[in-house]
Amino acid sequence: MRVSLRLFHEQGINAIVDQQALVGKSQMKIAIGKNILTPADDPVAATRIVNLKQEIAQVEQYQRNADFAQTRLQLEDATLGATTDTLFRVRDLIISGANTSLPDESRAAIATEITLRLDEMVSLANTKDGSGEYIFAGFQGNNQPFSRSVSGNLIYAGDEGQRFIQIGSSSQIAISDSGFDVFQSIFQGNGTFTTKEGAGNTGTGVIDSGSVTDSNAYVEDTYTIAFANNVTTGDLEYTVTGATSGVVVTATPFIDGSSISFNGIKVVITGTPKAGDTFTVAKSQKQSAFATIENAISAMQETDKIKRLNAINRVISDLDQDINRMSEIRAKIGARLNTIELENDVNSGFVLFSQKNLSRLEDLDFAKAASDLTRQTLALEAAQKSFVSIQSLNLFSFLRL
Amino acid sequence: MSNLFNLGITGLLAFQKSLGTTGHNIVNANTEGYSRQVSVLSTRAPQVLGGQMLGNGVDVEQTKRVFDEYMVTQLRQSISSYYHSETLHEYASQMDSLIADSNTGLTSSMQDFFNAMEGLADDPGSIPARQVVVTQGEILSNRFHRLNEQFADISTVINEQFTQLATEITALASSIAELNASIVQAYSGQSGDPPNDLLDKRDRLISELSEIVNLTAANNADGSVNIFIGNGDGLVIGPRANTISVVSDSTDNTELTLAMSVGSVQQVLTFSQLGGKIGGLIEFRDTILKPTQNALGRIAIGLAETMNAQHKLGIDLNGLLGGNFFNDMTTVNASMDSNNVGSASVSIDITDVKVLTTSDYEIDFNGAYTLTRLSDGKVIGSYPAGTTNISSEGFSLIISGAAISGDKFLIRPTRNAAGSLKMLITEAKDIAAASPVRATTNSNNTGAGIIDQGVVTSTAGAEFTTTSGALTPPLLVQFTSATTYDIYNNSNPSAPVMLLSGNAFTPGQSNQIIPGALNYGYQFNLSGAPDTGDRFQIDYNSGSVSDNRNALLLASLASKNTLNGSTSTYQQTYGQLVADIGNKTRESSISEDANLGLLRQSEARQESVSGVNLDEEAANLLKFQQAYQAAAQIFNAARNIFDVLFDATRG
Repeated sequence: MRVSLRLFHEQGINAIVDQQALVGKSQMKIAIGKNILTPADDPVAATRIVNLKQEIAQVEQYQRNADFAQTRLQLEDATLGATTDTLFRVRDLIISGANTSLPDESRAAIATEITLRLDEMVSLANTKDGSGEYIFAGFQGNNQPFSRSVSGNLIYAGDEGQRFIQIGSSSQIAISDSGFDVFQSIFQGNGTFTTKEGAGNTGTGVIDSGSVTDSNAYVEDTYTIAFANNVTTGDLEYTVTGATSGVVVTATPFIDGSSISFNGIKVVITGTPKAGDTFTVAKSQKQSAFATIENAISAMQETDKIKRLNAINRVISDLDQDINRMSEIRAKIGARLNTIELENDVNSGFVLFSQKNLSRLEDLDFAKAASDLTRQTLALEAAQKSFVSIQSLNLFSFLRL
Repeated sequence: MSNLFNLGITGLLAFQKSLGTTGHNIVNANTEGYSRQVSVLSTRAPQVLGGQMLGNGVDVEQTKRVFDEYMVTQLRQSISSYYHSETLHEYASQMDSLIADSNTGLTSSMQDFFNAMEGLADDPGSIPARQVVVTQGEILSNRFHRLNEQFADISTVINEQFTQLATEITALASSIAELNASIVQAYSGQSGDPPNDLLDKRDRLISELSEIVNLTAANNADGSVNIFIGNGDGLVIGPRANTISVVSDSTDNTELTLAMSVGSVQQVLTFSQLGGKIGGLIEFRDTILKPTQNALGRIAIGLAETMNAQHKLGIDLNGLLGGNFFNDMTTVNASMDSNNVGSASVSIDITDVKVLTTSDYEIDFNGAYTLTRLSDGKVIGSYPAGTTNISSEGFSLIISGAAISGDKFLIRPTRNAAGSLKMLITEAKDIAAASPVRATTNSNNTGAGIIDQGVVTSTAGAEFTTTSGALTPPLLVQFTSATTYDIYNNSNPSAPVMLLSGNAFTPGQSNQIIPGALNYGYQFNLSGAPDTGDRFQIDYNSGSVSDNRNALLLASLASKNTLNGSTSTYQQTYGQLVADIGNKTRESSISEDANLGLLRQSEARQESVSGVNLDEEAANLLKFQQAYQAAAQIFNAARNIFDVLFDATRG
């Protein structure tokens, strides 16, 4: 092929310019440390990079959410721990108050301490979080959940809202429990039924809180245990009558401290009731933990020994229900904290994995890039040198015309 | 003997001419578009004298350029293709770096916005957390604007390019026409030699023209050349050139296009084959710029619509229902073709962002309306005259007035959305993070029924709109047995009014307790076993500063497949856009390289035929110089012969 002067020059220059472009690109990659400068370098990898970065940012947000949830739940757990301690203290106090040899003044002192404990519990239930929101107010974070009404009753001003937080792509976790769930709606007695002595009882009969011995046989009803003297023997007997089930136990001689069983229920009456005395066994009602403590105070203030003992029995079983409720909620919190921990592990694993992927896609292999650059620089030099040396070859330089 | 002198003279003249041609070649070795010339030598017609043939010497028959018409045509083709792909790649890579750059792209600000929303869900009562959402939302909408402005800037640059290139085409065309005239005159002048330098000059101008636009050149017998561009439109016909100007597109006046003025008629050029810079610009505008503007617009509309819909289902810190989070961009006007004669106008109502495409559409009237998707030319449907509403592809077209055959409208549902996206929430308090309903369990309930806090599906109904900041009516759910309940209007809690009685309840499982008959935009689930007489209240969620239910749902929109036929999230849709532009840029870069290779080959081939090789010319120089010296020696020989003769006769 004929090589014209211009073609010769153009080809030489093109070779140099092309090599320069390659060197420039390699140099740029090394300077930035990235393998992909624009998506056009590798569109598939570029899309993966965009997606990975977004996923990482998303998961990092989940981790921030989880940290927030953890703080909130730990605050709630600590508050409920303190509340449980208070309830145990009240329980201890009331048990010591059950001692019949205790003088009235000591009981009055106990009543005073329980009053202080009640205030302590109210202030625990009105705990605020870091941003000044009441943690037990449900959705009404700006309203103090527990306060005394004009009539002196503690009322709940929150609602039943529970806040959830996203801690994983498909996992939400509750970070609060409403005051209603925690303090307000606790079944009294043994959780199934409550026992109570008749208001006009004259004997010394004291009823315990009873228990369900056979939940299959249990029939929900209001039962009355009525005492009467046998018309022939004159012995003290009792009959149990259900409001809807009718007579469930016909007249049976009463033995102090022996259990009375019917329809899957067992209660024990100690002391000596008198004919005409009654005790009722009725379905549990809901009550607040504060009401239980208020009951404890009035039990301590009760002057009638038998009434006081019956009241103390009721308060103790109610307190046990309250303590149970605290344990249940704290168990839930524990489970949530576990979930957060697990989710955190999964999330940090994901971030690590994704970052590794990202780096593989995006980051430059410096060893390879450096060797590429050396190779390209060499080629550029070769192109330049050969151009100069060939260019001087010209017939005119040999002509002496 | 005198013949010998004559022979010498022809030799001297011929070699002088050849030396001149060689010199011309040497000095033009670096002239762009120069074709080397050769002087063709031939023997003169012999003299017949008494049956003897006497040579009459040498003559320069013609000085012609060494030229291959076929290679030149191929070279022009290569030039057109190269400048086409070069221009396309230049603009594509501009877009490519624009949308992928973390400072200009959408990804990071979109993520920051939704992270802020998550932060708000963590702590819904916090004004700072809310303020971050407001700020990030503004940053996000600014980012949309910036991208859109940059696209608009590119569009303006393209228009300027069109204007400039139109001027260049016109100038080149008129120069070619002038050269045509000179060449025709030169040929008719009978001088013998072709007008080599004029031909070279014209060829160079035609090559320059093919950098701008794909063309075909046809040679005429008189030596002139006709140039056709576009769809076989004659730009240069012999000595006459037409003017190329820019006109606004008939349906989109922001877009310039080329038109040719033939006499007083201005005719818009269409291109059967794209090439040159014009081709690159057109391809870039049609396949990259417009689809990208549309795709970005679709993300903006999708974001605005889905966020708005969810935001309206919540209540803000003042306890009022949420309004639009971003501006409503569902109503757009179609652009009317400037040649329309009918009175019809068309407005576009976006009805479903899920199925919205990134294409533009055209609706033509020819006795009936035809809706065509422009991205693939698919006819979506045909609708009889008098149609006032056409629903398809995620939008409705509302037609008013009467169209006349030939009328058309350009439908661009998503084009301008990215530029007009605006965040309407300016006060941190106005973000609707809470849900408007809540349930409370009566504290005297004896049963173990548990009610959830409800889900809201619509706040457009009278139950929410009658009194703002309240539920009309609030409800009371009261159980009449373990398996039945009544629903009361609880507006007056001391005297509830029965709404629906005897609703069935299944204990031990989750029951939806708002009967469909009430047609309320919310629902509650009640599970467990309520007792007879148990009550639950359903109220407006006033004072709910700690409620984050709606914020959670707003934040979760980031990972919902809301776009592209419910297959992609906002971010994925943007990712696809990035990949798409990346692919197209890569494609254009590859074809630029390929076309550059082809161009260099064509140039090399053409140069190897027509280019000047200095070594060759040096050799020719020697050759003709020696021949000239030899021819001069003929005079010497003749003189010697005369001398011999004179000496002999002197005696």
